[in-house]
Amino acid sequence: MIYAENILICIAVPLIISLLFIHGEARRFVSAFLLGMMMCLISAYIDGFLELATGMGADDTSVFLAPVMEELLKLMPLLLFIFLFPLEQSFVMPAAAIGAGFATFENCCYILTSGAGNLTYILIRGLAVGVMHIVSILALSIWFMIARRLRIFSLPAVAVGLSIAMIFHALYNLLVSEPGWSTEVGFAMPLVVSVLLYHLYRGLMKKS
Amino acid sequence: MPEYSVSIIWILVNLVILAGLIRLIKQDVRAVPVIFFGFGSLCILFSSLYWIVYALLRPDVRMPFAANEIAEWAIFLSFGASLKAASEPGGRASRREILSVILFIVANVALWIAWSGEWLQDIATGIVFGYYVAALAVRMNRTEAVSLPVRRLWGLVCILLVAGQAATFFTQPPLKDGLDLFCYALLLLTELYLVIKAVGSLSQKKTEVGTDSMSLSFAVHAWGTVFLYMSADAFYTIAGFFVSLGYLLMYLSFRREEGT
Repeated sequence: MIYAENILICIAVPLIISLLFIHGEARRFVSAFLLGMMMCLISAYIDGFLELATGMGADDTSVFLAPVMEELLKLMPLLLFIFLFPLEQSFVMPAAAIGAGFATFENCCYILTSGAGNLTYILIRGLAVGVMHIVSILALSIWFMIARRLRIFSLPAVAVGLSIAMIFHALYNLLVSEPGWSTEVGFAMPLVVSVLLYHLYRGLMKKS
Repeated sequence: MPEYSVSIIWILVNLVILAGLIRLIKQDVRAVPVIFFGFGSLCILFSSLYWIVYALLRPDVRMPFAANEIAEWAIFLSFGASLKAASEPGGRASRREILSVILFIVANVALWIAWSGEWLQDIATGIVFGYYVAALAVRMNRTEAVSLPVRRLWGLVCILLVAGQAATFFTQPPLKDGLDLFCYALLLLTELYLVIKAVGSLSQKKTEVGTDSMSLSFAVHAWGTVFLYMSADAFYTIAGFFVSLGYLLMYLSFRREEGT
């Protein structure tokens, strides 16, 4: 049993204080990071509730339901940024911050539950889950940027992007849920996709 | 194994399609319908991959609910959005046709629920599939891809299909098996007609009436999906094959539209 709310307060308070002294992009980044951590806590609550309500068990909940809830909750602050800021604004920075905040808080809770003795495993976790949360929301934000430029930012556009993020996340959770070859493939997947996404983003930036 | 084979075919077909779409986009074809179709294709790829990985890692365990169902909804949404974006604004089907589409989808949803018992998923699937089929009906009506008598006959096939499948719940073998076979024959013949029509339209001039390859190829996919959701065992594999053929025809129709 860990007290996730207390952990959130402990990490968030210095960041909130720092908001008073920073401006512009930096303030936006820290705000999005904080929102990402909050979303992680809320998704943990909802996953816990769904686990009890459906009687699925912790493993099945993390494989089947958590990806859907987590991606949906990461989308909320991103949509907030999209509607708050003008068309020319890039959504990549807030998206990266939301993903990083979400992954950081999840990793903190994981380390407190399972310990941080094994450096190799901690590194793999950081590179896999950490990158996965960032990659899924970054891909979503890049799609939203394209959709807004093409003036097709609509419910189908959001739903399609969200579902791709969800299935990518679900595939990762499914692969790492069983020991053996699938875990190795699962751990490698976010890194491979992040490289592809980086090239896509660079290509888009060059063209714009 | 048949379920694996359908997913493997879909993965291969959609990899080819995505490679083709990337080439189209590189040639500066940035049409919105192409982009929506590409996203639908990506969803199919991920969904099929998820299904195979699940079957490999957890064989014989029924999937309670998973993100691949959401991907299926996204496939219908993106194909519907692609069709809507490809059609000129202002087009609409007659009220009678839209009502027929709604009734057919509601009847299908009722049958899916009766077979699987998954209320929430089946209703959600029905809503997005209905959106897709309605967009298709509007386009088919406007382009006259299928003549009015054929559309009426098609409506009759839909009624017979729903009635036949509903009757299987109240009948015993051998009558039940006979009804199933009758429904499979209806599904298969309609699908074959649409495939022939779609393939024929791809080789004809765009301006001719009844040659809208886009709506015909989407119809192959949509009817293939109805077939797939109504089938089991070997017929499921056959339907899966038609759905993948639909993907290829859809891609070819986009190439025809873009003139590449």
